[in-house]
This record gives sequence, structure tokens and C-alpha cells, in this order.
Amino acid sequence: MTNNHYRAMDQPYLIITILLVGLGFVIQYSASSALAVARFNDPGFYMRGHLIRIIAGLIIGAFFLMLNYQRLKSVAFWIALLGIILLITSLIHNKITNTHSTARWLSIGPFNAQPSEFAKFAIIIYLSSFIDRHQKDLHDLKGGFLPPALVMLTTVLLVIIEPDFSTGTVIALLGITLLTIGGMKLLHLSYLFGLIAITSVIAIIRSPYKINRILTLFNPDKDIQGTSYQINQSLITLGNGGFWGRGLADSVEKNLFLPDPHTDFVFSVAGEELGFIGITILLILFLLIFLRGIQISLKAPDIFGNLLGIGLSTSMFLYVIINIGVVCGIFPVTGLPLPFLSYGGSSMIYNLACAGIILNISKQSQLKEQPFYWS
Amino acid sequence: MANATKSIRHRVFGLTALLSLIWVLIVARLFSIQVINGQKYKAKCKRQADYRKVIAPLRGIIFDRNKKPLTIDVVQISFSAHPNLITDKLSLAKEISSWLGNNNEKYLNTLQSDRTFVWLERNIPQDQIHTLLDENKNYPGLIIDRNIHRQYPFGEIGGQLIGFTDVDNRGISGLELEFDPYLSGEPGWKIIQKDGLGRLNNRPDLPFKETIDGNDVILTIDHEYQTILHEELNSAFFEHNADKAMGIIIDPKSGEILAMASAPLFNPNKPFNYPVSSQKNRVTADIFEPGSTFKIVTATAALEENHVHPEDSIHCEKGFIKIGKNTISDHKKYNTLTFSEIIKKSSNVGTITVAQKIGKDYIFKYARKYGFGVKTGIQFPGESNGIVHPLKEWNDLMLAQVAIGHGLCCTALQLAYAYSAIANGGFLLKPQIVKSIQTKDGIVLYKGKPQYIRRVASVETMTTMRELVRLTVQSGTGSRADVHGMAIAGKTGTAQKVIKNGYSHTDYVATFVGFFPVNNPKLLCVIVIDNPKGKTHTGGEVSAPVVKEVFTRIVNQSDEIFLKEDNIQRPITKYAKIDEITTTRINSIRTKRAEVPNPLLSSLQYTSRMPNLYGKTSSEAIGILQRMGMSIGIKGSGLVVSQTPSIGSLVTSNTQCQLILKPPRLSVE
Repeated sequence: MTNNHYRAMDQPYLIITILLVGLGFVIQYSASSALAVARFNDPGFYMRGHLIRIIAGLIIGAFFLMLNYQRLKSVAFWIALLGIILLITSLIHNKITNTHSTARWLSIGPFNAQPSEFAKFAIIIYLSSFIDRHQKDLHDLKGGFLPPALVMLTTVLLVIIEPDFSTGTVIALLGITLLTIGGMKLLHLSYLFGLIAITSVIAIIRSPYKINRILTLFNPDKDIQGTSYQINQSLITLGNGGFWGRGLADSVEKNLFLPDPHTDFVFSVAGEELGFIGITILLILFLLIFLRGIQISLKAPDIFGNLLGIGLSTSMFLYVIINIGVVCGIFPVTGLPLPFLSYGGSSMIYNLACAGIILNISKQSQLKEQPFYWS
Repeated sequence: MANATKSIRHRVFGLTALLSLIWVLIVARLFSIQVINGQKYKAKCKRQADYRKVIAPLRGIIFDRNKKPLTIDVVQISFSAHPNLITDKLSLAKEISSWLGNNNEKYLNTLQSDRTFVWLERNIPQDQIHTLLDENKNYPGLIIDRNIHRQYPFGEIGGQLIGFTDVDNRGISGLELEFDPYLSGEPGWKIIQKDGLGRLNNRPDLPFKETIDGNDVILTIDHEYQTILHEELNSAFFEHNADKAMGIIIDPKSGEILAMASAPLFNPNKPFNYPVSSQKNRVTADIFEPGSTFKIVTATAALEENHVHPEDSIHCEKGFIKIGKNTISDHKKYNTLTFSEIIKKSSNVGTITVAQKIGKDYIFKYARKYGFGVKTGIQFPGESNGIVHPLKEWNDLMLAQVAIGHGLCCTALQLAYAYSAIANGGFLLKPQIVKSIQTKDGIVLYKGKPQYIRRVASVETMTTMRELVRLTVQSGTGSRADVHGMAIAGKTGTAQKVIKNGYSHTDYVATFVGFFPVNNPKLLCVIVIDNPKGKTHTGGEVSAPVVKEVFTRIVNQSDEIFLKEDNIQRPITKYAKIDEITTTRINSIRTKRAEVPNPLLSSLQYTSRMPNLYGKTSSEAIGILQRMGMSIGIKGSGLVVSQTPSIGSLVTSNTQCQLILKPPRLSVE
């Protein structure tokens, strides 16, 4: 088993991942070139940065591919603790230096990392591991429900006060999903729901810009130059592509009409250049990688594997749905990146690490000879 | 066992179904945005990203008859910038300084300003820029504007004649207005893509329309003559402290206007520094009572209708004539004068006596025949009709007044063309001010040619008339216009200005019409000085010397007029004998003259070159040929594939042109 890793790992999943990374690279270059010229007078600036992040992601992904995922189970609590420590560190760091307005970034030497991405990763591992080890007392409030719920809530709260409301929400959603799938009592889950609902309301009331973002959703033509500028430009960008698209590199809107054409709104540029047909193919690839990931996870040899795979696959797909939902005006503007396409190291490393772990799970599952469909 | 438990499977199925449903919603939403509403968003994108840059055409140049440009289009280039949009300020500053040859530090300092908009250079003449600016190259944040500014190198000379343009380079006065449709050209445009910060991005693949430059107008005006007239008119204007003055020089045989000037001065380079009244060309716009210069009408009618002979004696009533309650007097008391002496000495009483003999019908008819009271049809904006009252309103006093040039008004232009009929042997001509109009490529769009209106009187009458007005200069009231050896003929006029209760005894309009040489006139000049306030006020004293100066200077400046005597056309009187047009009696007032084709002039050939019409659409080809005055036969439809006459062959305006058209092959987009 250890000698034929390549034959053993799931080929379709690997191929779709490589396709997405490759397509993402091309789209990223096209989308970022105008902004790179405007900011750095160098069209390849973001393209090269993206390439470096892909390489870093591939190294980390390869590491998790080689590492037996079951080893994570034993260190899961420590990983979760590290996640919380990193979040606190970045908050303190921000208080001391006062350089950034938000504490989303943690600088370690020349690297800037988003501790929230790591925290998300840590929570998925921790919850999967906890549920796997406490199968018998899952329905017990003190022994089975409160410890994971508290760790999760602490993390979510720290992420939200960074402030990164969107990532906090996603972590909370993922946590609830895992706890639900893992078999927690619905009564206990409803406590959690209540708590999260109250927290959300408070968070929204305390920062009015969130209300505006939500209102924009229902009335995008109001205040076109203000709060709804981004979403209006995003819709224009998508619509300008039409069915067949304007052709690669021919986006008009990326010329600084669309804000963040290389990060949060990279999908709009893809829509303008590749058209409905092109981005539908892209969306199908994202759906396939999600379904295949779930399929792999369900065949994992243990519950930790089941939940870890499901958690990681869901987290990736949740980002896809939220990001594209924002881009096409279904969700309020959040600032979540699109996996494999958006510019950003933390996101790229996280998603390739997920892919590495899921491929590692696939090596140990009994899926090898099965055809590729949902069963 | 390795598979997940049943409960996990069930709950995961629910999760997957939920997320897949959202996925389907998203795809549906994208379909709605991109396919169903795609056009709406495309239009929005076009609105915010496409910028239509209008490129102004070069305005046509107005030339004098010797191709001396009377207008200049100064192309000025301005450089401005949005400093915050420029990334590499140093290299841009270096580039700009390489264009303009200045030190780059100046530009660098400006570019490093924290303002959002700065001017680098304004209105630099194009010839000071060292390189040809590449229209399609992008310099983000840098704005290059081309501005075309009309200038008049000769300023006040011919100012009212040429007119001026507004800030949009549209003619609003004078010839600039009259010929604006020819001069203005068609602006072009091109679509330039804007980015989100408003910077322009030139892309050669976006649609554009080429600019069509305006056409050049070549005038019949001779700038040398114009200068002479301008200077002499203005010196008289100032010397006599007049209210206004106007002068015109024409070629009495072709009807071409050689110079036209008005005072007070007007400089079209700074039109708004002058009162509006100074802007107008008074020669065509201002009317005045012609006074004694109008006596030629009475004289011509009398001679032509055989009522008098130049040698006939006419009793002049000792200088007074009573018409009803009114008395009209002469400036000197004459007893008996011959008819020629009446003209020579400009006797009012004598003229009225003759007019009473021939009757008001003929006076009216000849006033009309000479063109009074009707626009001459000059191609110039704002021409006045003049005033000749309808015949039924004429009473005895009116007849007497009209006979001596009162009770009616005319423009200096009408007076000039009336006298040119005397000078050229009897033809009233239409004023010509444009010799030709041609495109910048040399295609002739319009060719001016002498236009004959009618014969005013017989050659014999006109020969006599020429002798009479020659006598006026030789020994009569116009003697101050006489130059030895130049045979100048002319007639003076001193009209009392109309005031509230009749005629003023202090304000006059002094007029003199002169032409020379008397037997083969080349030049005709009218000078009108309104209200001279010096010691003298008569046409003979005020205006005649101006005409004399003008003629003398023209002759001194160029001997051409005499040296070419042998080469020029034979006297026009010889042609006149084959003229068979019968004169018709004109009673009704017409606003425009009937134009009769002139057999005398149709033999002249005005040629131009056949333009290249290959590949043009039928409407384009017809447009070009119609402007050249050609008749057109067309076969087929589509684009021109064959043309007769061939490209570049000489054609006249009545050449028949045959075009063969075929539908175009599918063009490559």
C-alpha cells in the first residue's frame, strides 16, 4: 500500500484539482494584469505572486498527501489550541503595532498569513477527531457536546472580533454541519443555533456597513457609486460576457472598473472573458470536486476520515458558493476568496492542503476501482 | 468495516442536496445575468467604458485670388495630467521634455504635485513639437488635447469681409459664415476605452470615423488692392472725422469683387473688442441715398429713349425749381446748360427738368434695370435690398427727388454694379466674390464664373454715358479724381442725410464712383463717406481724392494694368453686337433677379479634373459630381467599378459622366 501511492490515490479528484489550479492560473493572470500595470507598471506582478503561492500550496498539499491523515487525529486538540493562540497573537500584535486597521493578518518574518484560515482548518480536524473518539457519549451535554462547542465558539468569536465576520460565520456553519453529521443531539444543536443567532444580530447591529451590504442586495440600483458599486460592477462584468464571452484577456471591466478583479471578484472577470458557457464548465468542475470529495470521504476507513473529508470538501464548496453568490448578487458582499482562482496565499495553501488530505483519505478507502458517479 | 455509518450517510445526503440546490440556483442566476439580460449589462458597460473622442477637422483656408492665405488654422497642443494616475513620473517627464525640448525637471515637479489635475503645457503651436505624436500610444494619466484656433494674419484688412468664427470654429460672420458649409469640414471621432479611473486607453481595433477637412475657398479679392483700399478709406475716414465709410473695387467686365472695405475698423482676431456695428460689411449691408451718383439713371433713360441728345440745351431756371410747395436748388445758379454739362456740373434742376420730360415710368424702369432696389445676389450674408418705392406711390416730388438720387436708398455694392454696366458697355453683372472652392486634394467643387443679368442700355448709350462721366472727372465736379494719363471716369454724389423733418443741411453722404481706363475699364471703385465733418463735405471734395489715390497706388504698384493691354480680351462692346436678348419692361418688385444665361460667356470653359470615384457608393459619387456641376448617368447598383471620363481627365461643368456600379463582394470586416 505504501509503495504505490500514485496508483492508489483517486485519479479523478487529482485531475480536477490540477485542472482548477491550471485554469485558475490563466484566469488570474488575465484578471490581474490591468491592476498590476496600474499599481506596479508590470502586468505579470500578480501572476508571478500567484505562481509562488501555487508552488507553496503544492508543497504543503504534497506533505498532507504523504502524511497518513490518521496521524492528525491524535494531535487534533493541540492544532485547535494552536489555532486559538494564533488568533489571540494576531489580536495582541495588532493592538501593539497598530499598523493594520484589522487583525486579519499575522506577519511572520516576510510572510503574511491569515490565522483565520488556519483556525478553520484546525476546527475541522478537532471536531472530526473529537466526534470519532467520543462516539459513545455524543449525546451527553457535558462530556459530548460542550467541549467541541466551546472550542468552536471560542474560535468563531476570536475570528469575528478580528473582525472577520464572514470567515467566522463560515467556521460556525462548518462546525454545526460537522456536529450535525457526526450525530449530536438536535436539542443541543438548537442551543448552539440560538447562541449564534444572537451573536450575529449583535455583530450586525454593531457595524452598520453590514446592514447596507444586505440592503444593497435587494436594491442594487440605489446609490450606484456607493455601497452597491461593487455588486453593480460585478453584474455588468458578468453580463458583458454574454453567452460566449469576450475571449480570454479581453475583459473591459477588469480595467479598474471592477474592484478587486484578482481576488474576490475574479469570477466576474472569468464570466466576462469566458461567457456563460465557460463559467458553467468552471462551476461543474467545482461541483464535481465537491461530490467526489464527499464520495471519497464516505468510503474512508474510520469516522475521523469520514468527517474530516466531509468537513474539508464542504468548506471548499461553501467558499465557492458564497463567493459566486456574492459575485452574482445573491449574497451580500463578504470578501471570501474563490478557491484556486483568487489571489491569496492562505487560501491557496488551505485548499491544496485540503486536496492533499482528501487524496490521502482516498488512498485508504475502498473506492479505487469504482466508476465516477454518485452512488 | 470501513464505510460510514448509515446516519452519517443520510445527513451527508441532505447536506449535499442542499448545497447542490444552491449551486443550481447560482447557475440559473448566471444564466439570467449573462444570457437573458446580457444586452442590458453590455449597454451599461459601453456607457461607462466607451468614450467617444471627437476629432476636429481642419477648417478650409480662405485665399485671395493670388493664393495668398487670408486665414490660418493654428493647431495648438495642450498637455495636462492626472498625477495620481501616473506610475513612472520620471520617464514620462523625460518623454515630454524630449517632445518639447525643455528641461524635464519642470515637468517632473509638476507631475509630483499632489493635485488631481495639472496643466503641463498649454496651447503649444504644433510646429514647436519635435516629434510626431503617436495618436495610438498610451500614456496613462497624460491628456493630450489638440485645439484648432482660427487666426487672421491681416487683422483689420478685410476684417468685416472675411468675418470670424466662434469658439467651436464655426463661421458666424462674413465669408466665414457664408461659406461655412464648405469650410467647416466634418469632424471625425473614435471610440476610446476608458478604465475605472477615467484614464483613456487607445485601441486601434475600436470603431472610428475619419475627419474630413474643410475645403479651401479662393476669393476674387486681391489682397494688394484690399490693402490699398483699406488704407485709403481709413485715412479719409479719420481725416474727415466721418461716421462711417465704405469702399469697393470691382472688375467691371467680369463682375469680380477685388476689394471691399468698411470703416470703422474691425479686427476679426478679437471680434469682441469692437462694437457689433463694426462687424458688418457695410458695402453690402448699409444703405444710403446715392444723391447725384444716381443721375446716371435719368441720363441713361433720357439717352436710350431718345428724349435728349448730349448737345441739347436745357434751361436750368436760375438754380431753383418748384415742385408743389417744395423748392429744389442747385449748388450754383445756372441759366442754360447742355445735357452733358448737366451731368458734368451735376445740376439738380437740369436733371429734374430732363426727368420730368421722360416721365416717371422710364425713371423707374431704368432704376430697376440698373439693379436698384433688388439684392445683387452676392454670396455674402446680410445683403440689403435698398429702397426703391413702388411706382404707384410716385408723385411729382418723388420723381424729382429720385431723379437726383434722393427718396431712394442703395448699397455701395448696387452702385458699383450699376456703374459697371456703364463701364462694360451695358451689362448688369452678378457680383462674384469666390473664384473657386476646392478640397484639400484639389478637387474643384465650385467654380465662379461671370454671370450676366441683363442688358441695361445699348452700347451707343453706354459709350455716351462713359464720355459724360469722363467729362465729369476731366472738368466737372469729379476733377479731384483726375490723374494725368490715366483716363479716369466717374461721378460725384453729395446727398443730404435724412433727418426728422426732411433733409439735413449739415450732414451729408459724400460718394464718388470712378472707373478707368475709360475706353476699356479694368477697375471700378466706389467710395462712400458718411457724414464727413471737416471743411468739405461733397463727393467731389471728400470721396473723389480717395478713388484717385486708390487708382494711382494700384497702377504704381503694378503696371500690369497697362502692360497687358494688348493681351486682354477685346472690348466688350464688340461682343455686345451679337447679343440678341431683348430687354423686358420690369414693373413688379422682385426680391431676386432673374438670371438669364449669357451667350457671351458660355463659350468660356471652366475646367477641372475628374476625381477618382472607384469604390464609392452611388450617393457619394453623385454628391461629388453634383458639387462639380456635372450631369450623371448611372448603370447598376453597388459601388463604382467604371467611370467615364477617366480619372484626372479635364472636364467641364456640363460634361456628361457615366458610371457603372456593381454590388460589392462580401467585405472583410
